[in-house]
Amino acid sequence: MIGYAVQRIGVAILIVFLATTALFVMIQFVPGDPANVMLGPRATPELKEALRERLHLNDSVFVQIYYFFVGLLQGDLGVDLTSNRPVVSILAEQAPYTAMLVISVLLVALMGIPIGTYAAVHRGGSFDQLSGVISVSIIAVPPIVIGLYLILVFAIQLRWLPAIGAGEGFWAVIKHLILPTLAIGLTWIGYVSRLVRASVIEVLMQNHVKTARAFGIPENKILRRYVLRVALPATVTVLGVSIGFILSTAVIVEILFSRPGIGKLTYDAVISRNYPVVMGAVLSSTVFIVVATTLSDLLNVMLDPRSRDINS
Amino acid sequence: MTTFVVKRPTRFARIFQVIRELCSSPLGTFSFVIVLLFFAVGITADYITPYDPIKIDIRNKLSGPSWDHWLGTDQLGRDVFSRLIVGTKIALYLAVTSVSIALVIGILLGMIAAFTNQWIDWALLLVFDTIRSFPGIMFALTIIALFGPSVNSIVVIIVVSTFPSYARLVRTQVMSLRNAEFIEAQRAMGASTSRILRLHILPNVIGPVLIVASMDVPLVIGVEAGLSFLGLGVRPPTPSWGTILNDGFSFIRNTSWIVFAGGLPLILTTVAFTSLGESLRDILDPKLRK
Repeated sequence: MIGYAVQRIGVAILIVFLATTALFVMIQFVPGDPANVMLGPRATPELKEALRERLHLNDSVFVQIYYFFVGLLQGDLGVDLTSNRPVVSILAEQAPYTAMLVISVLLVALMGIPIGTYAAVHRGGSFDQLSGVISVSIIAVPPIVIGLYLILVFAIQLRWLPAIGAGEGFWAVIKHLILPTLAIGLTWIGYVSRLVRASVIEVLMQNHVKTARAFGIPENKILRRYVLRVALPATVTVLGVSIGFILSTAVIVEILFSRPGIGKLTYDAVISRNYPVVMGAVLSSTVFIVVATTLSDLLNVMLDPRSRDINS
Repeated sequence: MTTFVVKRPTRFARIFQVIRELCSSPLGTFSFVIVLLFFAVGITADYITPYDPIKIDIRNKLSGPSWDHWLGTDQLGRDVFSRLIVGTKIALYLAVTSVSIALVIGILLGMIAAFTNQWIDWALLLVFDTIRSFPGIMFALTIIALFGPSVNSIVVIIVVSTFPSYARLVRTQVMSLRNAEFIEAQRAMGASTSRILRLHILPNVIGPVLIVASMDVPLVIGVEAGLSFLGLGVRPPTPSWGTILNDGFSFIRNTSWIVFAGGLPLILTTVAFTSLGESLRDILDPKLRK
């Protein structure tokens, strides 16, 4: 287990290193002088030269990568080109909003567990068929469309919930969270319910459940103690691995709902070609995803050692 | 003595059989019809639009559905129905181009990873996993920041973010076939690696990969819609499903009709492709049915 953990962590570090290098190489491909692109055509040559010097643009790519990693190890991701503030502190300001959204999506996604379990136990019944059709449909639809329809119904027509911003004060924050969370979360309720349904059906057919039934143990108890205990850890780890997708959609939903957060920050940085902020935001979310994936992978192996062979 | 001759069904007969099975359920029929319609409308888009999709008619702006304009008009008086039809062409173009390119790259790299030495396999796996660890939208935003918004940028984004899953799938499939008896037999008869890969492995691998690819079409449509909605995809005045949603969103308080109508083709095609993929997988590979 320790050997496997060391190997997975090693691969995770390597992936972050490769991803950063790839980002750097991509920035080299920007047509034209990056300083020109960043400062605009009207900047004076002195200003451009100062920026080039500050960002080490006059050095080779390898030297730039070296400086970036040295900075990274010291917790320095460079400076925002427009406000001159450290990128790290800007990220730290915005991250809680995104984290709040991702966590509330994860919590909402858990609603898929009872739905999936009920569908599996009553397999082939009308609830199973209906929930199957609804889940498959909702998994397919892009969150941006779900978000737009939610805004249309609940913010514009019914005027029940706010569609813009993040709100201040506990209740306002909760109210502002509902629509963005549902825009992403509905898909995940569908996904989790399908996943739980499949794994519960699989476990229900196994010998230990048949034996428990033969002993006359009540169905409810079998479900709680023998079925869900086997079926749920796999689902939870899949959610862990999927955190990257959730984060990705969170970014787009943040922009749709004009919520502050890493997504909105990156979008604004892309529009204003603020490369240090783009770089910092992309890197920090990559690190977050790699850490989440590695942790859930390790958790999965701890809970179910058979999966080690599949993962490696 | 009676001789039984077992005739293998021809390829066409097999295709018809799959379509018949597919249409045996209401959901299957629905998805098959919508997907056919998507292709038909996408291919003939330029000839079937009732109005010029970029012709401005300010006097008629933001009008609701009527006999003249079935889905109403947008803020510049352009016919929303015609714009959605031309948007289908863009969606079809993106889906076909980007998924095909990603498939070719994925299949080639997956085969190389499975059939060459351990080091190349390991290096390729690392590349696949690195790409997959990039948060999708962040990668998209980076590419747009670097190369600017355009249809080609969307193709690059989709190809780069989807080919690793195809490559990984092909690799796993090829590895399970590599030591199969019929491959050993080919090898014993002196067949070259490229011949084995081309004639014996590829036909066995392509089915599942194509199914996964068909289920990726909603992803392509979602990426286009998302990026164009943010103003980072297809450039105006070219109508795409995302830009139509964007136009509608800007005037959502005046009329909710554009967003409602603009979302419908997106919902229909994404649901149809996903359930078509699921149904095809059930028909062609019953082992995977859960």
